[in-house]
Amino acid sequence: MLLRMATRNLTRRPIQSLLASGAVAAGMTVCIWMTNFQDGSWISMLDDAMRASAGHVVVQADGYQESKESDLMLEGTDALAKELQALEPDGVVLRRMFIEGLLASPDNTVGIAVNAVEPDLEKGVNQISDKLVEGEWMTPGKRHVVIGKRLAEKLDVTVKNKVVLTLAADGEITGLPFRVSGIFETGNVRTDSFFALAPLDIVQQLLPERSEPATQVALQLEAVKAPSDLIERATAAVGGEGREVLTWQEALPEAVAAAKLDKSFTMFIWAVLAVIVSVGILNLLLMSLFQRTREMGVMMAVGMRPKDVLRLVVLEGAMLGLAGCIVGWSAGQLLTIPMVTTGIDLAQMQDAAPVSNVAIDTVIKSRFIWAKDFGWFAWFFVLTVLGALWPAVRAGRLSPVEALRHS
Amino acid sequence: MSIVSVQSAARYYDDGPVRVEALKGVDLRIEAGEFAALMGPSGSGKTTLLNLIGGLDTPTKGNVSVDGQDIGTMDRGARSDLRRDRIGFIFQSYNLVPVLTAQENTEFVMMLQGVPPKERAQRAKETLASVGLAGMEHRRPSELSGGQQQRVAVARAIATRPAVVLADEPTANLDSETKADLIALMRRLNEDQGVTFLFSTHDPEVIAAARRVIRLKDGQIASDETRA
Ligand SMILES: Nc1ncnc2c1ncn2[C@@H]1O[C@H](COP(=O)(O)OP(=O)(O)OP(=O)(O)O)[C@@H](O)[C@H]1O
Ligand SMILES: [Mg+2]
Repeated sequence: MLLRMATRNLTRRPIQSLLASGAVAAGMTVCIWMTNFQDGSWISMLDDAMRASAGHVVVQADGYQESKESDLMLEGTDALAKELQALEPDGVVLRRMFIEGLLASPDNTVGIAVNAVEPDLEKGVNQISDKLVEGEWMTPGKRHVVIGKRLAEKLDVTVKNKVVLTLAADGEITGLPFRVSGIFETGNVRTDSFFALAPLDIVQQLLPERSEPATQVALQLEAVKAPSDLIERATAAVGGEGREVLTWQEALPEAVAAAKLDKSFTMFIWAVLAVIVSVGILNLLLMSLFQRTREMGVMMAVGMRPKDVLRLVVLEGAMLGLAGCIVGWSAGQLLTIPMVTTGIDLAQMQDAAPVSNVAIDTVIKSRFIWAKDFGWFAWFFVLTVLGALWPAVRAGRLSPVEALRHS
Repeated sequence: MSIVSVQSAARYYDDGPVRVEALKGVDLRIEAGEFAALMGPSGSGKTTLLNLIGGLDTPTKGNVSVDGQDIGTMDRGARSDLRRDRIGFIFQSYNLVPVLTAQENTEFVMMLQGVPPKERAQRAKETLASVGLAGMEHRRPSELSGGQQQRVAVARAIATRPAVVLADEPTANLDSETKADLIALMRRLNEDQGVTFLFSTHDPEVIAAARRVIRLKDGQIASDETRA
């Protein structure tokens, strides 16, 4: 009967009930949608960045992560790559060399960062290969470079023109002529102005003192998440001997930190929103209690215990909250569906790339973040019940004599 | 043993620096099967006395006991249970829970007592019929006249077979015909089922129906007559 009374009490003031419940629903919709959007886009962005400049497991020369010294390179990377591949036969193992150098044309010379990569493998994981505005991707074994559009303008070169790449390495200055095979435009000014890609096997020829040198050897898997024991297996297999074996989170700490900060800041905003919403429930129940003082007095006079009165009011709040939560949660998920399938294209997003010299997909898609979404449900529901608690306690404290005098 | 026993009961209200002596030492006994009226001018302490007997309030001095249980020594919860199990209440108006039907209002106290749903539904139906409301079980208070609402209140009060039904000016908001019907109903329940009634009133017609008339004046009993 308590349940029936609560339901009927709520339908007695349908507009107010709808408003309070609707506020919960609206708040919940926003939280669910934004969480799916923000966390979803971060997952994609971090995944892009991870694939373009690291891997699920990254092996580097010991100390490189800390110092970013380009001299710190691995050697004998063919064997190392085979060992990593053996851990995950379906994975992709990529070798990369991160170095600085000078790129010269007849007109100009520019200091740049160079990623020397394995062209065929890199094409599959690096979004820059999709951002070519002229020419083609590099061919292994050819002296090709792929450069940014602004860099091409600065050097006043175009596709098929020759440029000279000079490195200062191992105490010597060495240089080789390359041909510009393609020009990309990511939209990120730094990447487009000071960044080039070249085939690893050619760049290795500039470092004749070292055997098969590379800055990192990375193992990437199809899935977003690697199995949790992968890092241990990799450390056991290829660790030691002056190498560091890192997870991608360790290899890209700034990116991970940026994502965390961004997410926790907005989480905080939405959590506050939920509190505001629950104050709406509190307000509604307080008002309705004031109007119902006399009948509460009658109910208590004829023997209803204070704790049952409290229960009735909490039940009313909980029902309002639950209805709002269910509607809002469902609405949030439904509105997420087009964001998961189609997404939206934010061309300026490039500047949001969490790691430098990485192109990310500018079509942002949401993902269903079930764990957090259920967390939101619980948080809103708990808050609405808490919002009902104060009015409920007040109702329970009513003295029947006083309440009966109220009309 | 008397159902209600009031001994030198006083109730003072401290209204800031002013002390209002609403009841100043009242002695009263009500026996099973009585049909007693409490009368007196406005402010004489009728409601205050009924609240004490009903366990809604506790005396400042003296003792009030119902069924031999001293109300002054009970805590809130115990008084709440005493009201639920031993006392029926009828108030002047707005007695009913507006969102519940006549049937549900009548079942309400039985629900609080934990009477199984089937049994209480049956008892509520019978009780409503005995107050002349057969066929109106599913109406809400807003769909009933004032007199019918008071009958539902009577039904709720007697459905639990309390030791005493306390009615504070039950007819004050009714027109004279409905008023006469309600008094006749209460009288009939008293005679046929032995329900004990103690009610307050200003109304000479209602007083005329009573077998015992207790007059209050300035918080004291001025007279107490039982008619043959
Ligand atoms: N809560 C209270 N605080 C202060 N004074 C009160 C309170 N309740 C009642 N009184 C005072 O106690 C006195 C008795 O009041 P009571 O309500 O018992 O009278 P009554 O006989 O029922 O009057 P009426 O016929 O108007 O209902 C009055 O003077 C009233 O003002
Ligand atoms: Mg009164």
